[in-house]
Amino acid sequence: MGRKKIQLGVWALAILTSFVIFGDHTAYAFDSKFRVEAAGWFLSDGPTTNGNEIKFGVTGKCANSTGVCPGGTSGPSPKGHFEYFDIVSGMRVDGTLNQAVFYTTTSADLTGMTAIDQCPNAPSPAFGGPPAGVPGVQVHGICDDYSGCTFSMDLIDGGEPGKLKDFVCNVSVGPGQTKNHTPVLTEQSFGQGLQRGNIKINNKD
Amino acid sequence: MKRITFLLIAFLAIAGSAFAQSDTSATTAAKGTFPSGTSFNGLPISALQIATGVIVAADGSGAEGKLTIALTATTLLGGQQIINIEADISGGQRAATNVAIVSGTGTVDMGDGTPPLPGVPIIATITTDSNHLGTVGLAIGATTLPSATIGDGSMTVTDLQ
Repeated sequence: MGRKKIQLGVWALAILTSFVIFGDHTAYAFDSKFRVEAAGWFLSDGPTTNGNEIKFGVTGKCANSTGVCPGGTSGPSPKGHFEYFDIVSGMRVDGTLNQAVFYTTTSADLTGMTAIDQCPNAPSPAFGGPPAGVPGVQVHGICDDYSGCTFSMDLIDGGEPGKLKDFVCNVSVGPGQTKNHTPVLTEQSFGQGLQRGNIKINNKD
Repeated sequence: MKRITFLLIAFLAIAGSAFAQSDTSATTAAKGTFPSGTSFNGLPISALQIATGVIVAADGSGAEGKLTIALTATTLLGGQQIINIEADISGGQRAATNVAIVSGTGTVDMGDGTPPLPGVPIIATITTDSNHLGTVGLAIGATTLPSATIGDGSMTVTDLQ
């Protein structure tokens, strides 16, 4: 191969590389139709943490076309991370999502007097609870730094703004630890609207 | 010939690194303190609470997510005032392994009865350490605050893989 051909080849490669790196990224930017980003705080209604302010941050995406990422041997795993911080008990944990199931909230009661199926302990839609027909996701994860610690919650995107429209349900986190490594038992919360923050769930193309 | 070989290797390395990158997750649920003398809109502020859930695209083309902040301020009469900021994140970059810079626009509620101000540009620089703590730098509108030191809670900047 002549020197000129090699030079041409290098230039062609350079141009192709430039297209890849600096070109239009829209198709590459977010490769998963199903995504969740959530952040804020809510007041726990759990048996041992009633009234505690819980701060949380969650990211997640599921590349499966149905929005079901059960992980393990059952199917594709999601990609995502979570943070959980109870400012009263001091429990702080973070970890990696290993399950994410996206859905649309449902209710058999069209009058809105019964809580939705995915958040049965929350108020009914008629009394300010999460509505039927909005995006939700059930996430589960494993804590990074504390053996045996797991994380699960349902996040419901009830509209804008997030305050008291978006809900966090079926929360179970722990056992965990405080910043000073004091053990904290598993914490639960049944169904609460956000006091601050927002839950954004994308389940459409 | 040496120059051509060098260029070829460089192009392949750049192309390879572009494909190898993952999306970045920046999550926080934490609280921290500002250095003494920090103020915002004329009020001394001492503490910060933050919750974040942001995904930054691997190629730097954008980001999406939510950022919630509460600043603890002291009123002129010595009382406590909470300034709430809620932002939609649309831009971001992974500045280093442990650093995510996210940006967007948000609503600033001074908590003093005045109407919340929407459309305020917000930039947050989240820097984590090995204890999942670290610092948070904020630019709110035209005001750049000194970095807050995170004292409790948890923050993570990591690859989504």
